[in-house]
Amino acid sequence: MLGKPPGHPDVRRRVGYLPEAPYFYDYLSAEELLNYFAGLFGLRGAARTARVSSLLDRVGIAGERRLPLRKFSKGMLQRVGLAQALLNEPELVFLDEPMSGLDPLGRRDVRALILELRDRGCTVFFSSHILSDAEALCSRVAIVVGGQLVTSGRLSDILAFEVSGWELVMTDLQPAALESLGSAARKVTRISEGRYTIEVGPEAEPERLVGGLRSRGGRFVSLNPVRTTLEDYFVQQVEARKTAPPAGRVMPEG
Amino acid sequence: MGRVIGLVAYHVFKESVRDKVLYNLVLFAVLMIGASYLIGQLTAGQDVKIIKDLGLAASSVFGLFIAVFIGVGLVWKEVDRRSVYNLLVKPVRRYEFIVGKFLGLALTLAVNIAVMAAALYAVLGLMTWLQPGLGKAAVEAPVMDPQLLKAFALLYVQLLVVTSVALFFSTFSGPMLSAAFTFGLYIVGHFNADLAHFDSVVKSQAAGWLGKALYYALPNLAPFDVKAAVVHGQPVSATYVALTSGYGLLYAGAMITLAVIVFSRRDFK
Repeated sequence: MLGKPPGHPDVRRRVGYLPEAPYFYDYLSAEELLNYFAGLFGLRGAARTARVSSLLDRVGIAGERRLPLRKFSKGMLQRVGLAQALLNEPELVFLDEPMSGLDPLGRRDVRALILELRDRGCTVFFSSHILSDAEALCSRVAIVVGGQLVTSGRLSDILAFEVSGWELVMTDLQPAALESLGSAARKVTRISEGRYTIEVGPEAEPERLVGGLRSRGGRFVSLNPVRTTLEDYFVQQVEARKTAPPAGRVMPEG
Repeated sequence: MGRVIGLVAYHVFKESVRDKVLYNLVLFAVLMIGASYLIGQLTAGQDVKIIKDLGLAASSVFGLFIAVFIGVGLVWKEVDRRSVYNLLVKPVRRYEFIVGKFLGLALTLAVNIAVMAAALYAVLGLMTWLQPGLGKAAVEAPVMDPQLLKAFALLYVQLLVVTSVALFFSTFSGPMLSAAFTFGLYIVGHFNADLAHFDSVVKSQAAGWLGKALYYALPNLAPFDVKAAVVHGQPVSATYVALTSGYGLLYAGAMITLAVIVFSRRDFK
């Protein structure tokens, strides 16, 4: 790891880690904990104080810095965990379930933080059950099912981002208009009176289809391409392994 | 890497302070002052002995409880709560963690023993001040006997031995079992001398050898107890204190080395 054996102290100096269920010493406050760990990294004096306060601000718990950790909620502990993983300005960060225990705002903050780290040139390695986060953040993903690595690679290679069809929503459609679609429609779902969702295959030309329906009195609402998501891929991979236990997880790299 | 050891040690001390371990000192002070008042009714001279006896005994009991009950949790608690994972990914070597833990508790005990010694001297001083004739009545040993410090010093080294034993058990076993083992070894340690002469009471030579082997392997704690000698004014030589302390520190060092070996082999998954 980083050109040295994994346990080497020089490596640990350059790596950050957030454990899955972060328990820290609950007799300490957030600030004291960060000062302790910063000390272990050899930071001292003004540099340490500056680093600790900037991280407390960054993860949004500056207001609670003097509160003992035993009074912290799971989401707040998660934020402390993130802060302590970044104390040494690591080149490589391992985050075990960084989104767990966080509210939607917290998740958004963490996503922003991960992207910020990426922009700084830091490699972020995180595990998550929340596939949409992985899809939004990662350049490379690996899927682990039942403790076995199933697949890994660039997200763009895995999903190939091809359009597998179109989802068209229109209103004021007469039954005759629907019939005119014929075999082009893979699936037609009625949403309300006259309003339908029509799924068509990738070969259909959506412009022509919309034009045809409009000429029969239909009104256009929306047209969206259907892409394979990481979730689809994940389900596909898991089901491909009959013996695999239900719990799988994605270990993406940002 | 003394800085890391120092940080770990400092936080053990800080935790014990925040967990209100030092409150036992208040209990100690109340006990001493209360006792001195009650015993003040006895003959002059006798009361001084009883106060010294009581002060030393209470110090050793309180110290023993702190050493055992904090000692057995030092490593176990961190492993159990998984905080150790997060610590060991930092640039902390495993021996630094163990040695830091030991020194932290050693610091807590040092503060405790120092305050208790000071409290005992304070009570003795108070007694002298309240009963002006006391100095002449206490014939065996002076009231404010500096020898008491030797008793406290040996008590402290003994507690370091107990701490090292507790810490050793803490690296691979839960607190209940570790506390039971440590208390067991403490008691055995006080009767250890019998093992050395085991061969003279049993016929079997093998049993005699076993006794000898155990005598060297188990901690020998009886020599650390000089309460009776000090209270009755019998001299305790500086050489004796130094040699006994040397033995204690060597024993504690060996236990910590074992603890480091066990802890370094542990695979945390």
